[in-house]
Amino acid sequence: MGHKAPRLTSTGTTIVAAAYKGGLVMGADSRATAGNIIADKHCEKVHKLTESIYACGAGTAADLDQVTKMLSGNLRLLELNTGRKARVITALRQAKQHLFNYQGYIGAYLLIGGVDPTGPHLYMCSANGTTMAFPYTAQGSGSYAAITILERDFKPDMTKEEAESLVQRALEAGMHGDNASGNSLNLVVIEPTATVFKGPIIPDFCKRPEPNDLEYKFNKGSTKVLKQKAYKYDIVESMDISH
Amino acid sequence: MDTMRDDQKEAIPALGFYPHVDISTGTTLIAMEYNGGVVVGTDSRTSAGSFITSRATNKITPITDTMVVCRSGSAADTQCIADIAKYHIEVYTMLENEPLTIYRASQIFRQFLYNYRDSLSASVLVAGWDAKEGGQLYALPIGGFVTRQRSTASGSGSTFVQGFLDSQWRPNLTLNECKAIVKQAVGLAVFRDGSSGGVVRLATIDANGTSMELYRPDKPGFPVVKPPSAHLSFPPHVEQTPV
Repeated sequence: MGHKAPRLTSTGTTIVAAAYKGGLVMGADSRATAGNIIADKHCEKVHKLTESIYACGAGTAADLDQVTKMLSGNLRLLELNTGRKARVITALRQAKQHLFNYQGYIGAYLLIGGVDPTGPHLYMCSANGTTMAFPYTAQGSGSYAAITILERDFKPDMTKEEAESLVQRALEAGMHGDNASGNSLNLVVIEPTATVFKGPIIPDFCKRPEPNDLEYKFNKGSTKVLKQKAYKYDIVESMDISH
Repeated sequence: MDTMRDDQKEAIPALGFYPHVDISTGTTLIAMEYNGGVVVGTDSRTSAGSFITSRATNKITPITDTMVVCRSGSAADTQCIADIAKYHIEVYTMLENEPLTIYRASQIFRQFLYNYRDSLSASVLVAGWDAKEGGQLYALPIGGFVTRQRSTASGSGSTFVQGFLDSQWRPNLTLNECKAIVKQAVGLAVFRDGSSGGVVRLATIDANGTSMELYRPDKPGFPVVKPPSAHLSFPPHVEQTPV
């Protein structure tokens, strides 16, 4: 009697982030999967922690929502108590200590990034509490494809446009090569002065090749007329049935 | 360097727990005392299965200005222990108003490694300099056993260079001799160990503090290992001379 409890996960995910001169671009696909079922086609995997710190999540969808909610709450309280903007390293410390306490049972794999008074920062935090700093990285099942694009095209001190296009291309590679990623992508561009959210962007290969409801009418003359017979009636009474 | 503990590699379907990736071990840590200080050298690979999660990891974590810890085993566990031990060392330093000896610091690490020996898979090298005993090196393998060593190797790459280190150490080594031996040892280990690789990081700790060096395979200074030539029975084209 081993019935597996269904668990909505977004384990199948592509999340990508890259730092550029003075800022950071982060992005995610929008597919949530439970086994081989697409559970959500427009799922939000780019989570806002503060005005200038964001987290992209891979792993268990419920855990990610809960952890990022906790982080954003704590960071907001910290900002109100200190009167200063929270730092990215603070978000990372809170995430890693929380996740380490739960020894990997909270299935949250995060890319935490943002801009604070000490500059742009990008970190990865794994479910068991490992953290690493990166100039660019990807996570999730689509990360293998995404990393190839990043490794080939990343260069230090890119412009905003270059970085944005790089992250988008890396995400598209992940969404293209990984069955568990796809549908659409969301981007967030974080700079010291402003944070811009872009999306959902639907890449061409994610669009359906034909419209969803097809015309099922047969063309005139498709069926050969074998015989015809006409009946003549007198119209005694009529009724409007057009609507 | 691991990013996940052994017992987490098994799926627990009843809990809906499926490991994100299967993760295997791999690190090379080399350290050696010399006249007046200590030199440590590491590779920079962190892997998750056959995937290299990070190819430029820093496995040398500074604890004070004159002490570092080299981490191997689970990255999450060793990062956590380093954070907590660092905190304890800072508190003692403030209470006693003088820096802790390296020996006492190694005993603080030992407490954690021993008390939590059943739930941790962490082994560390504590290396540093203090006014009492000069350069010191303590090896702490998985169970929490501490030994002071003149030179040591740890991690999966260590098996390949144990003999080399034994043959090279002698009393009154100079800094440059010591650095050359450690760098060569990391080079040899990385050459044979599939789970070690990337760049070579060296740290020198002496009375003046810690200085870090980086050697990249594409830049001069990277340790040279002559590949063994193919057996004579192979056709000549098997011997590939590097360009």
